[in-house]
Amino acid sequence: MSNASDCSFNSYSPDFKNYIEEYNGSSSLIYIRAHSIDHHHQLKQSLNTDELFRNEFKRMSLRQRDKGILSKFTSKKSKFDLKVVERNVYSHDNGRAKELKIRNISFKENKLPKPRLNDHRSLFEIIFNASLIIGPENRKFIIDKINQFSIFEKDLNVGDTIKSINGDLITVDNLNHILSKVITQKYFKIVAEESCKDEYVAMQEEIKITKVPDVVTFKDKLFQLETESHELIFSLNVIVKNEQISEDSDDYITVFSYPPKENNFLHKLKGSFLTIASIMKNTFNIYPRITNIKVHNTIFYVTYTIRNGGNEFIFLGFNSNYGGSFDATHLTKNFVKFLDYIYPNFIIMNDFEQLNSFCEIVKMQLIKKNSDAINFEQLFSCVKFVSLPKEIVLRINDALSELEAMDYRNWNESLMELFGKFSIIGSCLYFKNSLICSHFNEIDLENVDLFIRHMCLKFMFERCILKEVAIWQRVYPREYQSYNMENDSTKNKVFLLIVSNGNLIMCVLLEENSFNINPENIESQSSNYLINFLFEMKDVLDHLKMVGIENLAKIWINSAKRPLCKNPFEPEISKKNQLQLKNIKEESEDDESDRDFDSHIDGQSTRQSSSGGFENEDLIYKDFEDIIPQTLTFGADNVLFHFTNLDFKEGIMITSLCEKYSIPPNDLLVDIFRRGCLNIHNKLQNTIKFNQILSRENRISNNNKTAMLPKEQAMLCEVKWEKGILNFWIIGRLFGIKELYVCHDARTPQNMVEIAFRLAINCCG
Amino acid sequence: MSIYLMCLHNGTPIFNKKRGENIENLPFSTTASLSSVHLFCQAQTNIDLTSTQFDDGLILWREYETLLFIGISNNLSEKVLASLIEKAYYAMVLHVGLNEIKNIKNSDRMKRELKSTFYQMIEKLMDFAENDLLDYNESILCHEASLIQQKLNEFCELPIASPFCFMLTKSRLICASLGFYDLHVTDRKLLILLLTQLNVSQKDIPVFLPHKSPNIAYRLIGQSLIQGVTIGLLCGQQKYEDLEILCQDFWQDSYELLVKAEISNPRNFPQTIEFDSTVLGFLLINKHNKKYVISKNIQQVASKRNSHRMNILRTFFNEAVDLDNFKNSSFYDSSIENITVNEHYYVSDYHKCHAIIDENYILCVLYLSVIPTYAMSFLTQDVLNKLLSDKSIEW
Repeated sequence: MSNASDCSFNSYSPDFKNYIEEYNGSSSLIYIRAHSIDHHHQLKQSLNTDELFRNEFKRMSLRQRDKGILSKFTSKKSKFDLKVVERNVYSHDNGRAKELKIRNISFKENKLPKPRLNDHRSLFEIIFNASLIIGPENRKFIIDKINQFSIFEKDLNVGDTIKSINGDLITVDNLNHILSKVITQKYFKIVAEESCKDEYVAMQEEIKITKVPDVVTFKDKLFQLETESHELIFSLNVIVKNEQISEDSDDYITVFSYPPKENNFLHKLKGSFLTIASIMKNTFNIYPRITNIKVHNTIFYVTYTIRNGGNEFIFLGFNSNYGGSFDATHLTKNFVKFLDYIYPNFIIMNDFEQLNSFCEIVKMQLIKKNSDAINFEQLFSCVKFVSLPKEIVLRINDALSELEAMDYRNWNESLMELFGKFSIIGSCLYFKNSLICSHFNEIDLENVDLFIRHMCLKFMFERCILKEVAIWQRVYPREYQSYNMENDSTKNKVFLLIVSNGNLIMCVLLEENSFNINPENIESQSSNYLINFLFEMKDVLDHLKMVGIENLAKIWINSAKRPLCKNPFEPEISKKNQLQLKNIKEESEDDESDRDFDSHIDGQSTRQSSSGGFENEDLIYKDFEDIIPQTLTFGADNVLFHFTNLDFKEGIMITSLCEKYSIPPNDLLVDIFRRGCLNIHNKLQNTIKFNQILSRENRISNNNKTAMLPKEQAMLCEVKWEKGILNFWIIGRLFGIKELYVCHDARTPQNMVEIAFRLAINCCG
Repeated sequence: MSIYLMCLHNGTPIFNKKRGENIENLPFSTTASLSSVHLFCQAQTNIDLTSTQFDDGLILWREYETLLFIGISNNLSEKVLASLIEKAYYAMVLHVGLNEIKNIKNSDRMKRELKSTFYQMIEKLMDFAENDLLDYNESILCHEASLIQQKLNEFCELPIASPFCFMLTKSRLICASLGFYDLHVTDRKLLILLLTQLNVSQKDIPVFLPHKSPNIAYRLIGQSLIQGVTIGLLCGQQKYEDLEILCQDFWQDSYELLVKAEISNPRNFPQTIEFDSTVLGFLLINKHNKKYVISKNIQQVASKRNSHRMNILRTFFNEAVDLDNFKNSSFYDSSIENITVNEHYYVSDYHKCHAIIDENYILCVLYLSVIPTYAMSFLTQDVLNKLLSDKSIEW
């Protein structure tokens, strides 16, 4: 889990307010504050979420905070009795290294510390009383903090890099293993390199993004991606007919090329694509969709978007090493839709700097994908939705409705004006990359989600810590219900506002009331109002955070228990967890008196810090106490492995949550599942097309007579792996235009279609 | 369905065929433009233009030696259209040999050299493209097959001394010599297709086997034994008249067997085998020998719907069972040794289909829609057992 939410909201400083003071009131606002490193992100010990689900909520509310009056009670000496007995310093090419020989006095009694729910320290921190941060690409372990009583207090400094322990080079994967070995040894050695101060400061640096090209400028810091590649990964060519010569002429000019023409061999081939489009139109009265070309054993997919009666051509090129033709088709659709949403007409605009940056962002997102891994559900424009418990959803709905109604606090003059100035089309709330509440129709929701995707916000949530987002941008929805009578977004002014606080993102779509538009100084006037509105949104997010919605959403999403899916490639996990649970129970009995004291104090602190919020928070937690993991299958074992529900009607997608670090990695099963889904999806789409044709015409054409028109399709997969043979079904089913995919164990005697039905009737959440 | 298939040499058309209802000839300008687009891409640092997709259809460009094939279809999948183009090219090799194709000096002469049987074969391939499994040979299952097989083996060894013999009934294989199964499936497919295209007077024709012998011609002899049953063989220098007499003499005491085998048409499997009443048809594929049996008439009701059922089974196999995205795919997890798909099914408003895939066979069965989904697996297994457990059916 990202630590963004772990920071106390007392320490949260709304920096965008400071930025606003310098802001010159131009036509849009982008302000993103991010951090590239994640403090002891992957070093935490894995906790059992399966059996502890019921109690986690209660304890979260009592979690001690780092700051405040509690710190003096809670900072303890490490349980491990260690002493540095020998120090060696030697020089090498990159600077100086220190070797510490440590004597482990109580090595015989030492055993691996039992993980505790309220202990979010890494094993390293527990043993040495000093915390580590992980450098770029998980390569370096840098000392972030040395606490009182730490054995490193005299010998090492903050910023030094831990290289090896007992001669073993440490990595993210082996650190905990090495530590668990050394605590039972009498002597061990640690080698640390002295810090390069500049590097450490650079890593700690916060990244501020105030325009789209900044995302590209800071890509190395933000995403640690190696994008320096000479091969063509993504290309965009916009070509229009030159009508200045004569209307009948076939002269075409390139309006935009990414990468630049000289580095873009697909631009050199534009004549071929134009010819193919022209042949298809003249001979078959149809436009082509995608052309495949092969260059030195690499296939490139070139997609066509043709507009304005064949006068405007948008060619997008994709390298097959970074995705298949299915990816190319959907990425094209999404990208063009996004460009149409943020520009009135991106083909005739003059400034292409921003467009260039958006192309770079698409390229970055293609690079991040593992070339072997298959994309499926994330390619659709459906939004990943998490259905939270009703009680929580009601509270979020209340908060959003209050914002939309603008009647939630005392009126003053500026608010009165704001109310008259704009009408709110809708709003929605995300937790990281998952939608948790929406007041949008499916078209607006799709557009907003595409905006978030292409502004790289989702990618940032995956790769770094997003501290703050404040965006307002004029948008041009093609289909929307205007309050100004005329549904033309180029004439009306529609704005998309996005604000984030921790892991929560709120998006609001506003329309300026036409009768209030003051022709003088329109832009800056609007921007002032919009900035006011951003503050209002920020207040709502603060409120949601204060009442504990963020924490609850985090727990709910990370627990991924409704419905519960099993990872068949991790058969040992349940045993291990049971063991952990037992340990934790024992531990809790031992430390009962300590904990009560901590809890008592912590409760006081929470009460003080959140003032009125505590009462609400406590109530919500109480509601969570009765929630138990839900299994959709009958019998002792859970046989449901994975599911995906694509609801094209509502524009949402519900899938088993498999975010890294939250549940055991399920990548292999998901990969196989997606391969199956891809195959089934194409057939189900045929059926949808056929049904649409049938509803228009009574006669079935010859072409469709032999077509496979399934409403349910399935395949039984057999995987031979190191631990034996595993058989499981991948089933896809069509409900109207909704598609549902389920993956379950083949040994089950149940009629698994029932599962599909239960999932389709929204059994999630 | 409509298909256009064109072949060009340096921009000059060798042939231009079309198939489908109410479709017009493509103008030469279109063919020339499609060819020149490919040429233009190639001139740009060796870029190979391979395909363009449009709604419900696609264009494929394939280059073989000095020839450019262009296929356009509005209903075939890329895999089937690519296979059709490949077969068309190999049919050309079969007629004129590879050397001739490599060194075409005059396109008009080339056109003249391609005999009428070549064009008939292309037309047949285009007709079959949608309804045939182009990478498999169609055959039948019958009790008599094992006896005929024994006889055929004797025939190959003693009087003819040719390892490549095969017996057909209405273009379906009854049995064949081991040597014939050693040939590439495309070679076999084209030989069978050619033999069924040959008219009565022309039963002796030189052929270049595209995979086995693309440059040295063999002799393909076809001999009708009884009505509906033909024997084909690849042989050397013997006189056709001698071979004709030899055949008749050798097989005359087996006519009864051949007649019995012939009447398995169009049921294609023995009368003695009965299936559940929900089974509408099946497609059985021998993965090793690359041959298949398709039965369209299990309930002995001759109606228009029968061919439709066959097409559904073939489409099911081509589009769902014969998957590519699990084959040859590298999984990043090294603990995985192998991933196979053992069963498939689909459910539509009108019927259900189920397939079992084992090491040697693939069986696809078409069911009535009333059958419960969970029962299909047992019934398909039952069909497979019944078809393969009979020792007298050698397949």
